[in-house]
Amino acid sequence: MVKIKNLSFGYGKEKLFSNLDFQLVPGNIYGLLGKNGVGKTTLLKLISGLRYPQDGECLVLHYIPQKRLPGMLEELYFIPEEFFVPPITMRTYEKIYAPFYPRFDRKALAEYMKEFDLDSKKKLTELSYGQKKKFLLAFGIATNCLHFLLDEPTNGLDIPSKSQFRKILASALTDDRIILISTHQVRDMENLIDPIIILEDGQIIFNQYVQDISKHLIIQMDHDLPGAEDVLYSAKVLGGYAVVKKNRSGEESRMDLETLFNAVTTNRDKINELFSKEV
Amino acid sequence: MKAQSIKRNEYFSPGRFFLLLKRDFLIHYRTILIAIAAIAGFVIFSSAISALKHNGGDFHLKLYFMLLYLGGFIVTSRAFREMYNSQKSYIYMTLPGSLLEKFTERLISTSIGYALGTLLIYFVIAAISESLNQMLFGYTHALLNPLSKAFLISVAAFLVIQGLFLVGAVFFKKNSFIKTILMLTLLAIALLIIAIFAARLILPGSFKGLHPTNQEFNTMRDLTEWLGLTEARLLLVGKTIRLVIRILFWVVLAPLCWIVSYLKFRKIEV
Repeated sequence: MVKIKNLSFGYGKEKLFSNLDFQLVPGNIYGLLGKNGVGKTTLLKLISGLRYPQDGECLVLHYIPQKRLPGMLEELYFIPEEFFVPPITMRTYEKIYAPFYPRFDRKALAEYMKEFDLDSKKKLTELSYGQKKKFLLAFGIATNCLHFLLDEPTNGLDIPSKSQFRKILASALTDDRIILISTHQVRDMENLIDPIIILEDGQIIFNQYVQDISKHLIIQMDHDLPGAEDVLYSAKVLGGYAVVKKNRSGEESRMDLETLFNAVTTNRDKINELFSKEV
Repeated sequence: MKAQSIKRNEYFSPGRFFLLLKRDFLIHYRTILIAIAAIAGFVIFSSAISALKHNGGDFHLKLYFMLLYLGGFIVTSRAFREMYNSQKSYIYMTLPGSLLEKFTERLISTSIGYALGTLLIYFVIAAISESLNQMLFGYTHALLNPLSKAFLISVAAFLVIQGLFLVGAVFFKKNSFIKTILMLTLLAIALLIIAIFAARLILPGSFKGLHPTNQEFNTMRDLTEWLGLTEARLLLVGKTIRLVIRILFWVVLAPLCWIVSYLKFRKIEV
């Protein structure tokens, strides 16, 4: 469980978050979306104790992250977008780092590495960026941590690796585990992330399960510019218009994260009003 | 069972401490091996040159202390470099180990660990180089005596001064060795200026500018007159001041540096 209450943070005089409130519950793969510089990476760092909040509270399990206690760190694995790997083989990496994680599953690591086509005898520094990332993802999942934080995990992965990543991550989700993915690559994350969290202006402006989204909204492609009725967002795209409308029928519609994101960031009040009415 | 025992102590677990030590060693062992090879080459070469000239009885003692002090302070200054590198720091900072374990591991490996490690390695290298000297030149230097009083005091002094470089390593993100040297130099200059002002205040007639006007002034007589103390009491004050300085150096300085470093270490963010 991750609880964030009245959290404020900024760099220098510039405030990034003020009175941020939300919580993450186990059994979900959260997708954290937002524009550049909105604070997605900083939020992951605050949760993992790499940054300290200026005000408010952040709790991971029952731990305060900035205390960096082993009990919390054993249950948290963070892969940043840019990372360094030591000049050692993957096998040595496993030998050095696995003992720090009490529930580390060596068998699972071997399976994930096989799936990702990685040779454990190879030095990490000899691998491509994508291969390094695949190894860290495999290692992270094998730690069996309850909290798995990923910053732009599909950046640098080739097309087959992206689908392997989705498959492995989906299979790694358990009832007691929270996976939080910060990303711009929304197409890579479709059918994986649920709920969707959108961060803007230092606040969580949207935090909904996919099922609720498709119950309330219809996201579709229209050939002609739609009429104003029920339209919450529309944008010209190749071959027509991407449209977000109120879902009056109640039937679940398809999900298009990119269009949803644009709709929420351009018409957040109306969209949130729609969800709050239900509550 | 093992996992449970690790979880029981959130602040210090010997198991996690040794895992951190093992990690540091396994990641840096290639660098360590290269450094040992370079030191061995330098010691054997310079020892041979010295043996050829038949000079330098305490050759190994001088060279060892150069390695201990210069090398030790450089290694200490780099102790927390990993934490200030945005791409490296995340692995170390999120590694399951308490802040105390991580700090103690770096403190011990750069102080006692470094002193013992270099002593052992140097002793072996010196023995090899002297065997070669005996065979080639029929002349040998005395080997180190790690149990001599002078040796032990010098190593203890290293362990104390090392604390200052540890503070520098935590506080300065980049070039911490050079910056620490600079800070210590500035501190020495500041203390010198204070001492000169104090001397001028106590002995006003004996100075013109920074230069003493009378080279033969009697410090003891002038001081007893200025302070209104007998010579015996003045000697006692002097002894007390010396004792306080010794206590400050041998007892207070190193722990103070460790505490200051640890408090700053806890605050480091990425």
